[in-house]
Amino acid sequence: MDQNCIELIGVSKCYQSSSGERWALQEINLKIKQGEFVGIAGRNGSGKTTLARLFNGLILPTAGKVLVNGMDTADRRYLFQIRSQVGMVFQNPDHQIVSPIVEEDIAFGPENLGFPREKVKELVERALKDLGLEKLRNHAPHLLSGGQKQRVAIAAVLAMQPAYLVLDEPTAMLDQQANIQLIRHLKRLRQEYGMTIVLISHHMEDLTFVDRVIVLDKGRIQLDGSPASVFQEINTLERCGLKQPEIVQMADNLRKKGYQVDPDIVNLEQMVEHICRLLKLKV
Amino acid sequence: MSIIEVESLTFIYAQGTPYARKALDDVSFSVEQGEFLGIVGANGSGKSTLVQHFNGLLQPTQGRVTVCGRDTSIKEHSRELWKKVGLVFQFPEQQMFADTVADEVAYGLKNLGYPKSEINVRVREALEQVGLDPEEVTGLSPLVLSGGMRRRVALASILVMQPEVLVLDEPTAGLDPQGRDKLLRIIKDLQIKRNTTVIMVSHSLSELITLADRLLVLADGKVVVCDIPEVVLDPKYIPLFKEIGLPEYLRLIYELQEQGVRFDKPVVTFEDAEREIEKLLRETMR
Repeated sequence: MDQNCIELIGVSKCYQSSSGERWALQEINLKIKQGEFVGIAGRNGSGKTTLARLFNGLILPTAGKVLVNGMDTADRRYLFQIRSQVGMVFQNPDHQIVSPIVEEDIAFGPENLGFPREKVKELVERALKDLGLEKLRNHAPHLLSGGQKQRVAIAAVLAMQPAYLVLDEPTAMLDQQANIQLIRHLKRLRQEYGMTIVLISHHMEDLTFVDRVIVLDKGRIQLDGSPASVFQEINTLERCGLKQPEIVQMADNLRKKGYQVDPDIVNLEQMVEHICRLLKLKV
Repeated sequence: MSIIEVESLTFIYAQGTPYARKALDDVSFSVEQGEFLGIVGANGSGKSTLVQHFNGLLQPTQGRVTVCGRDTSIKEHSRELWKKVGLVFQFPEQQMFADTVADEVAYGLKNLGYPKSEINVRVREALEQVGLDPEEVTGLSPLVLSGGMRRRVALASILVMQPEVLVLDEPTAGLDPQGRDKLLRIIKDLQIKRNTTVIMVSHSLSELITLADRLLVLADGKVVVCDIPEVVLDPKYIPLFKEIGLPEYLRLIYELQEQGVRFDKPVVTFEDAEREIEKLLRETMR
């Protein structure tokens, strides 16, 4: 068995309600290896959030197994370890901020994990620095902007040194500037600490920076592959309520007209670089 | 004919207290009957404060707002204004309370004492306008619907009042791409087919650029510019839009401009951008 991954084996999840039962996920087989940057996309109600909550045992599967580094999330003995391995950031940062001061909020997690005082201080410092929050350390989180709050929430999770960071639509509340910054921070965490990141979003532009895109619909995995390959599946994307990112759409149109555009181009930075390279070649 | 006139509107929250904050500062513009006006601005620029003046929810601290010739600060006008101006708040589905879709949509008319037969006809019509099948949804609880459908039910509960002016505050927030497109088409159709005046607030230019006839840009409670998209996309406003948020195709054009690339035609739509990029590529092939 592979120890360094989150593995879902034949996972289904059913919610019971007065109007009957609803299968949010069906027969999911999935492995997320350590160090991967994975994006999960899907329309409202496709099962994205349910999937995220299975990763750290917030909910348990109705059928099948979820293993985090080989530990079954259904086994209560492992729950504490699993939760300290898999950090979660929710859509609305207000839901997970607990303290009236930024640095205390960030210290909350590592303190509860029982780290010694010096270690807690070190972790808090690093998390503040990683998310660019040093200047806001003594501020009250509830008075910060949405983007700043979201960074506090991430820093607080980061301070627990999780191996996996799961973010459920963290950009839904952010404006573009804050969004771009957040993606930049995530990319850096991945590079510097080799952290595994699972980013859930239905903004396709957010998913142009990941290594692997998984598209969910009707509780099943519909697509799983590199961004470049997934974004080529126009019909499936449409059936799943999603669209190609604009840059990919433009690159496709240009290719159809006979221009050479690198098939790996999926995001803005790559497109700008590509065009600049072409223009300089000419000079 | 202008249906809304805003004259030197200033609004101060908590005036006279240490927490006083000027949210709108000497704002003037007008909206024509049947027009689609897009209002854009960063978080905290005063967008939501502004639109709450259109049906008298907020009263100007200074200046005047008139809707259909009625001054919104005169109390006797408020009942009429609530009927004429339909205001769709952010995340309107969070305010739903009725057990069925039919009751939810009918609520406003029931309160105004309309006869049952007319209510039924208008509820059906409103649901059809937002692309929902009345047979299918009227008996359902709003809670069992998807996020996009719930948003459309909320819109129907405003449309049922047959407002002359429809004001929407971030109507697509949180919707997936298809839900967003569908809702935007419904809104545009209301303007074209029913000649409803539409005022839509968004923190992103992307969705407004092709829908709105004119765009009003707010920053720090002031009007930066209010004009047709071609004029609003002038290079001198670009730094402001970078903060507010631009569609990817425009960011592509602007970033290339920063690298020294020159474009000879203005870019407003996705097609414009593609045409300009195509021109560049053609040159490199020569």
